[in-house]
Amino acid sequence: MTKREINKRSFSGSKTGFMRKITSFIEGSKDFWVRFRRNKFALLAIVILCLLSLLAIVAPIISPYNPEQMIFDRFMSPNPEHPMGTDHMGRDMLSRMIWGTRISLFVGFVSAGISITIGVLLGSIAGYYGGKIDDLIMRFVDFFLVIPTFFLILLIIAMFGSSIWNIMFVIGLTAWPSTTRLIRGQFLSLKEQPFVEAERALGASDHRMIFRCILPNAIHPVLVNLSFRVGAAIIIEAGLSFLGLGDPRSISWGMMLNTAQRFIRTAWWMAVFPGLFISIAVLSFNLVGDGLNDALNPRLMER
Amino acid sequence: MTFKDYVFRRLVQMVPVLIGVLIINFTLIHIAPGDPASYLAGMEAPVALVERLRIEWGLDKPLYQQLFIYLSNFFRGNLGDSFRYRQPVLKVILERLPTTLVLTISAFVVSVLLGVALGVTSSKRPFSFFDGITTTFSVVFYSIPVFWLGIVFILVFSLRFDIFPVQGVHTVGIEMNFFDSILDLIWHLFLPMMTLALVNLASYCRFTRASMLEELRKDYIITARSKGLSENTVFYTHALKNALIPVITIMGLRLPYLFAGSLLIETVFAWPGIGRLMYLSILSRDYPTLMGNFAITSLLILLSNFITDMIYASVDPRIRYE
Amino acid sequence: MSEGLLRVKGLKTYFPTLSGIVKAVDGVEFTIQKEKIVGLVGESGSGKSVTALSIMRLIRPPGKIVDGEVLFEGSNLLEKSEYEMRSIRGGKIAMCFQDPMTYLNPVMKVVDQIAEPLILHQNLTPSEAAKEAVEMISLVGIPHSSERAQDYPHQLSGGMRQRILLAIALSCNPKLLIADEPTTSLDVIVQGQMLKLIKELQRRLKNSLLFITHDMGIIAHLCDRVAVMYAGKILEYADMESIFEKPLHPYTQALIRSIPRIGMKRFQVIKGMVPNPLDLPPGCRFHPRCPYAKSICREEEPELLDIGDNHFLSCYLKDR
Repeated sequence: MTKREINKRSFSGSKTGFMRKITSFIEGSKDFWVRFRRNKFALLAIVILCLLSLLAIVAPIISPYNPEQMIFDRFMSPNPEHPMGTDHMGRDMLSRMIWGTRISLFVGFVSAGISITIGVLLGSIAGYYGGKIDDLIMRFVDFFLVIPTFFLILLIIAMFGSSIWNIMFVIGLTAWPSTTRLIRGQFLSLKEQPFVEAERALGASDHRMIFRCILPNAIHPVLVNLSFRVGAAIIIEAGLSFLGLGDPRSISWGMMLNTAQRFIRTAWWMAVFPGLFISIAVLSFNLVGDGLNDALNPRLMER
Repeated sequence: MTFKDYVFRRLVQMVPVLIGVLIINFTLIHIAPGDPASYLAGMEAPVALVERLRIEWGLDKPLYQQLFIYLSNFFRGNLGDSFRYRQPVLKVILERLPTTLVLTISAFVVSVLLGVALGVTSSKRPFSFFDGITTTFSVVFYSIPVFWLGIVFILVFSLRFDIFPVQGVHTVGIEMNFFDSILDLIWHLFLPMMTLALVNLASYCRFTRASMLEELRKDYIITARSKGLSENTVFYTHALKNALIPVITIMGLRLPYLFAGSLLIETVFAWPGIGRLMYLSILSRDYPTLMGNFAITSLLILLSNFITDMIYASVDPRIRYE
Repeated sequence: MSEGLLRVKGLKTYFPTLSGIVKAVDGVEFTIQKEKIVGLVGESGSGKSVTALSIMRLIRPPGKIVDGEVLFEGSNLLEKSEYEMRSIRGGKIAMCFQDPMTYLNPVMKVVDQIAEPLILHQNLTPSEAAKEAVEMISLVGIPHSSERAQDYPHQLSGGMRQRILLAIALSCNPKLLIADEPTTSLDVIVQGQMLKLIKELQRRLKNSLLFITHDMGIIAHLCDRVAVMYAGKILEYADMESIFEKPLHPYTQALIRSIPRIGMKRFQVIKGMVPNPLDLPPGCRFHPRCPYAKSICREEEPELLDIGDNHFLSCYLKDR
């Protein structure tokens, strides 16, 4: 990898070194982007995600009606004025769907962000120091991988209240193990590389070693992981809302599915659209993650 | 390390996890908003009940003693009492456990068999049309929320086409002989089981495919080919067995997802197992049942993991003969 | 040169990669006579293993044999169907490999792995094949053969595993055994035992042997004829005595010089490195490292020519 070779040569933390690092990162990534571009599904997924994000940001502007307005006929099936029909309280479904994008994406990104941060930190420490610290951290990882974390999340939210911040924190606090494992593995393999030995011989502190030296090289698989984590977080939030533990003050796709269940015989559109959007969003994140993964680990077409 | 040591080791490793789960429960009781007693007794508990619980759980003793009491209560079968049912939590859970097991085990078996079969078949001709379809379906089903899939299936197969019942585990109000009631069960089981299986199948398919492709790249495959063996023999007799061994590990890792999915499916299909119990307990904020359910489900996962570990050890000679 | 058991002519095997075409084998020629041992020697990356796999037609896509002939008992292996090749592989031509740990199936008992070719090529029943396999295990010098037969590869030592690979290869009494660096992963003492075993078995079973190695010292103990390979081509090919007494190619001379001997003051290394297969030097491939390179060496590749006495040389410096 070009980036590693360049890192070998520049043992610097100086400002000019930093600029060099950025440019070399971009250059090393060119190869990567070429490969990524070849994956049509991943590209399509990125487009979809950009559209969804856009939708979330401009929701107030683009939403045809106020999502809370109950002035329409109830249970209207999809028609030109209400392409996704109206719900049991006479609210326009399309508007609600658009506003729901905000919550889902917000929760997804923040939860994933929290879990990635924790995961990277713990994984770096475990991988770098090894020994007893590594053992201890890995025990926690194994613990979280065995217990039914979804049940735990339900339990905590039921006890602590279902505000959106609670939800994000709890999801983030239970999803870090996979990231930790990933980063730890990276550290374990990178630790033995000559450029690390060289940096250490120059007398770099542990802090510098972890954050300036090894971590920038270990970060690529984390992008893959991030994508998957966001998708997973969206599904977990949807599940929580579906079971009635979502934030009642917000409009969430999962919550819409919860209400839709009662009216499933009369208003199929109330159930189909929210779930469809959830699936599309999560699918896109998964496809992007797969695309990133393939671009990072190219394999020749051998049998 | 002999096989017996391995078995013993695995059993022993289960205990700290279980204790960890109980510690989590205990901690939550004490750091959640409100009086810890309200999580054990309920909001409007009569004074006599609160008094009894105070003694049973040692609520005025120092924390570490409380923890000890909590743990020893659990191991003696006392998980507290359900607010909603006014019965011991353990009894409430055990009554509904078999119903869940029917759903979960059948879904597990179907997802493993189908998933592995699809994964192996697509690895035989990678990047072919069939492989493309399988891979696409895998990633699609992996992304769909299992509860929404259930709802969609109900919409299509129960409401629109009237092939399967909408909810429940058996048809009420009709007398049936044993054979008919088994059929009735299967008829009710089919949709929820398939939904759960389809979503889990994707992981097995992807992983098996990757594992097969990985094995086919290994050196002993060259030796096998150099003996003049046909591609089929090399594929099935040599690569497959090696490739399936890591799949067993994956089965263990997927168990928490299986149970979470089961919870959601039981809610959608009103399947009266411990998952639906969890849902009803959430609605009524029946904390002892929630916590008990969490603990019991953890125990179930541990036991299942133990079983898969045993299967793994019996299949991989490197573990058996050390 | 008479026809012999195996005759390789102008063999070329290329591997297309994202960075260009790797010409792993680029025009290799040699002959193996019946019951004779030919050594194929060269540094890592010279294309020796690829040559062996090409002979067995075990090259997988995207690699491809693009040119040449491999005449085995008169017929060209490169023209045979896959079906015909499968009866030859393991039966008439067999191969054993370098790293016994990764080349044995970890979940299959050793006896079953040896029995497989026996069932396939000699039509034995599984129990007959198992008995025969146990015989093979003792033939390759492993004591307590019936107990060892029930073991799995990880239960055996490195040396024993290598013997098992040999047993697999020799099980159907092939006419030609190709041994690809069978001693490289073993420690020195075990190496010696292995070589002794191979030599003995060859005398007994009367098979021809193509012995691939990077160790010139081993060649001296074992082979009747020696082919020196470099960057995909044969540079020199002659009887063992001629190679060691009168090495003509500068590379061969350097290889012989670099054999560690007792009393040597320091290691004799060959200057430079094996060329990048994507970026081969023009003319003679060895010229960048050759102390005697002339201008013609840089321009035109020399051909492999018979300079008399069954000694083949690919060099412009014939009169040194």
